[in-house]
Amino acid sequence: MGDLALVALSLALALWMALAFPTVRGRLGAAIFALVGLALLLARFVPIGHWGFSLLFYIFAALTLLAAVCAVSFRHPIYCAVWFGVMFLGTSGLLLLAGAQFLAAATLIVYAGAILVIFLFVLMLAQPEGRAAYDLAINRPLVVALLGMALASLVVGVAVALMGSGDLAELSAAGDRTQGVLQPGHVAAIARTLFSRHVIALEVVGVILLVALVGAAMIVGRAEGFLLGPPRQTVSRAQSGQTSPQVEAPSSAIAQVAGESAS
Amino acid sequence: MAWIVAIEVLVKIGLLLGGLMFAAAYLVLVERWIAAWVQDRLGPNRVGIPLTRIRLFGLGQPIADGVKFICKEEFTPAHVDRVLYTLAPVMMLVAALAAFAVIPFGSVLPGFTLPDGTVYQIQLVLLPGLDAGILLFLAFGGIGVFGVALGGWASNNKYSFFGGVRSAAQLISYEVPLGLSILAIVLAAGSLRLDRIILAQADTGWWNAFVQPLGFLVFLVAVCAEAGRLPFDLAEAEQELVGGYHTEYSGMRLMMFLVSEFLHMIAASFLIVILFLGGWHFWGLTGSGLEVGWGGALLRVIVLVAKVFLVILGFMLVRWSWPRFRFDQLMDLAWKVLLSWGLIHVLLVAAWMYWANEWPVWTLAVANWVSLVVVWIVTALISPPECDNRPRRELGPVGNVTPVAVSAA
Repeated sequence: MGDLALVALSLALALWMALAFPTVRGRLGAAIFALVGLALLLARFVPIGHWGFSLLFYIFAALTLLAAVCAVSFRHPIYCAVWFGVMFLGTSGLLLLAGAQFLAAATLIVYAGAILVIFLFVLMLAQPEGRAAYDLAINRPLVVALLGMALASLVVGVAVALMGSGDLAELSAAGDRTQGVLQPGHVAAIARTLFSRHVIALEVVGVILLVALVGAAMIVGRAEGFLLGPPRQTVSRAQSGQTSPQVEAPSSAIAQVAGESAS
Repeated sequence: MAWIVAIEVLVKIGLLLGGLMFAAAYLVLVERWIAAWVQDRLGPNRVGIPLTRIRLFGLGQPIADGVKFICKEEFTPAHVDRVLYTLAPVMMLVAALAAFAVIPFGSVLPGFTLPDGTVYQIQLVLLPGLDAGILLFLAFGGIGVFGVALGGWASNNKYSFFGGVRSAAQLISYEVPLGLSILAIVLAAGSLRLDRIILAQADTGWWNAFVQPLGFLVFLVAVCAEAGRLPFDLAEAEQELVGGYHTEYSGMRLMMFLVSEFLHMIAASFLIVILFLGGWHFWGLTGSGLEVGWGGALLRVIVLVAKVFLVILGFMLVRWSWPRFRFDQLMDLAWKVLLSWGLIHVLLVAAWMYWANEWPVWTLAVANWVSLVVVWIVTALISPPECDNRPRRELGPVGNVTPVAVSAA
């Protein structure tokens, strides 16, 4: 476990440098620390299954990690969004390698849309030139880096402890791909699990999303005036100065016509 | 065993890449011919064999276009974001090509025996047996939008930017009805795999377009919008946005954008044929099972490709038949009409699958045709189509949105 702690520490330093010093020199330092950490990690290198599988796995893993670090450390919001997307591509590749096709495709579908929305938010809300201080600064990079790595090493430590001997190769080979969610017809298996064991959680999550949707519709509807009665200011000052409000105009016209016909 | 799989995959990739690039090049020519025919012009008919006077009906035009694209200067304006500007067309082309990995272009080849005695059967799809089939297609479609949105943003030009944002909004909106109509098909076929969906149609001989007309309509409109074909091509609306998201592009990068748009259309046509028009199945011609000889296998490929070509011709005629939507009409169509139609359709099919699964297929067809007529009439009564293109401030309150009276007095 000692070497894993060292790995976590050097990776945390790398993350801190990447976050705190957005210059070429800072990125270089971050890269050096990251390389040291990864070299230490390489001592625990375990080939998983076929060499091609191993190669692809490590490529996707490296891509995912790199993209994640870039997504949090880049200054430009658009680039952050793009790296975020790359991170999900890497994750999806890892899932596909593990045989979880449905999760891979769903990750791409859900997060590609989500990233696009983030992209639009960035375009609409953030300043593209990055003039605003809140777009540039990262609050307490050291704390963020240390806490993040502590969390990550906690997860890794638990995983390693759970695996007992940690014989990853044997585990992945023995991982039964003919049953459960990894079986060939596994989409149906996932659906069966989701809609039987976890049906209440699923429904609750759906309702939460629906609540968000209704909230958005309420806000928009209030502004447009067709959900909750009229908006507060229906007629602009210039219009009201010249003519009567729009809605009243037809009734007055009708009254006029009625008056004429009566006379 | 491994080597034969590798050869199989490489040959398939080669066939797909070559066939798609060839198809994209020559479909441009077909599109220009159709445009000329609709508009009563002659169209491109001059370029034939170079250095001779032989014209060959203009069949040399795509080659000349390609040479022109290659020879043009690849100009990068000074005001663009260089990295994303270069990356965007590549992203779009890669996503458009990758989508074809899950699309079957035939059924199966007859199995042959390997030296070690095992029977080896080749399925005519790049990733056979992929259980998440159509989901992966949707995923690649979602990635393709990034090319448009990023290209529009990186060009640092307001018209390009409008194009990119419009396209992003449009694709997010139309993915919802698209997903709903696909969901009904998946429910009926019981599988996400495209080859299984074709097999299910071939088994009964009822193509999904006849069984689920409402879903077909929703899918047709939504996939047309996803492909960005003309009634929905707001991302590049020439009359409004110069060239939309690819205004600032030239040379090969522009060609990548244009080719991937055509690939989107080809993929959309494949999906229409596979999901709704029976795939490689044709009554009395192709059979229905997985047992085929070489002739049958070839016939199925020909039937599939012919259907796809007819659908593409349909797309090209649609282009010159309807004017472009205004943006609010586009959003109304997606969120008010297609979304509700899709929901009704999914509910109907799900209810039939649950309660009436044992009944013959034509009962579902009858229910669907009735629902199509009812839904169409109700939609027409509740929300008449907005054909008036004057701005809203001149029209006053529009559509079914009746404003609450400001004051009773």
